[in-house]
Amino acid sequence: MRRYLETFFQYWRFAVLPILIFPAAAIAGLVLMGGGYKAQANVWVNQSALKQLAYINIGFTPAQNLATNLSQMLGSPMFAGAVMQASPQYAAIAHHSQQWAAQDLHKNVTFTATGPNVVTVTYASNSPRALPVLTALLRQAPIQFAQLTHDPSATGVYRVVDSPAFVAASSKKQELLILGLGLLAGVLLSGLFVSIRTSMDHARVQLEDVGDMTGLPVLAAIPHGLGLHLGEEAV
Amino acid sequence: MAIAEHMEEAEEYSSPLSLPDEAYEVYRHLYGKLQLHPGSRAVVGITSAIRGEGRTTVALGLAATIAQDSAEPVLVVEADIENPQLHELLGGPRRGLVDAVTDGEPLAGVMTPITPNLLVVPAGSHPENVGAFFYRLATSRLPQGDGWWPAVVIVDLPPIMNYGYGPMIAGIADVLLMVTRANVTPTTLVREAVARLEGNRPRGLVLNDHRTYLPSWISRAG
Repeated sequence: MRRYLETFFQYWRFAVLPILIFPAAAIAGLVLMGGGYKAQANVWVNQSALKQLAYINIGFTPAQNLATNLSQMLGSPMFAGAVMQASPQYAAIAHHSQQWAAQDLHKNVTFTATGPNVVTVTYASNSPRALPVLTALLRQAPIQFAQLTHDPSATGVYRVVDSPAFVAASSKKQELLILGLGLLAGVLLSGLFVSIRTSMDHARVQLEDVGDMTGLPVLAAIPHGLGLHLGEEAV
Repeated sequence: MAIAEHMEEAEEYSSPLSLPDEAYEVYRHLYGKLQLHPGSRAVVGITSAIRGEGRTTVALGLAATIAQDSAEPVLVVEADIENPQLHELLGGPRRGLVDAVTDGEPLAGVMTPITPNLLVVPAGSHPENVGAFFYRLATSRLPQGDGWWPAVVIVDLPPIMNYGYGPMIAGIADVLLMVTRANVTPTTLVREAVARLEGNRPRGLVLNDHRTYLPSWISRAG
């Protein structure tokens, strides 16, 4: 252990570098990425209207069934087109491409059953327009259900109880985790450096083990800087 | 030359040899561990695996300490003839070990005093045949002659791994020390050098230029 400590303090500039760089990179990443924008809304499920939908599992809660049906709808270019139609801002972001919009919605929109009858809808985006997009999505989804089931009552499958609003893009917990991982990576790399450097130096004569390695006792260790001078010159 | 003449000659010198105070204490410990009997007239050989380990430093440091603490005359002999340092430090070429051995004369004739009781024999002229010189030195040992001989003789031997005759020349010493430089010399070389000295095992190692990078509070904690 002493040998490793010795190496650490001998090469402390190099050893400390990863411990500083990795967490700094994690912080920089968090700042630069900024976590983007995250819009969120809560909807309340209307159980009677839910029965009309395609994917119903009797073992699931109403919220879980609605989340499933909404998720199935996300990949559809037709639905994406409807959302773009309802939100000209989104159409501009998507360059009026239904395919792009369908992929974007599929990737960034999540439906989570947060209660037996409550579904939380989240849209994560790099654009501050996440809010109107989510509003349009929530408005268009019941209409889409009604068209698919040919039942106008499907438009009442849910009602928005918490209107779309921005929430923190990343939680403190996540930030701490990223920071912690950065620190861990830095410490591990530093440890690796110290370990390799120690094994390299192990090939050189050191006070701790030269006696064991040569079978001779160390009679004296002349400290660095206690050299001899003859006249002006060091010997 | 009698000892009295050496002493008189040395009085004229202002000693150019200087050691930090802490160094004297280190060499005192080293001398104590050698357990040389007073009056034994032992020849202490200082060798190393390779060049640059600090043999001359240790030889002169040990000699200066013994000379300062005792009234006994101490002699340092430079036997590393291919890398001589003493003649330069003594202010120019001087007759030395090579000349004495080649001419078959006693060492007393080529001794140069540094302090009243510290004398040195520099390497001297470069021999035509280094191998032949080393062979002769190893077989005939240091030419003492019939006259005066110092109480302690310290020989700055050539490095073991650089010369085939290295281990043989080490045989001229009654007590052998191996100097090695901390954090520089490969351990394998030191081990190999010790193995070559099988018939004349060194009394111990002197670790030169040792330094610790640990903060004092960690060192103190053990």
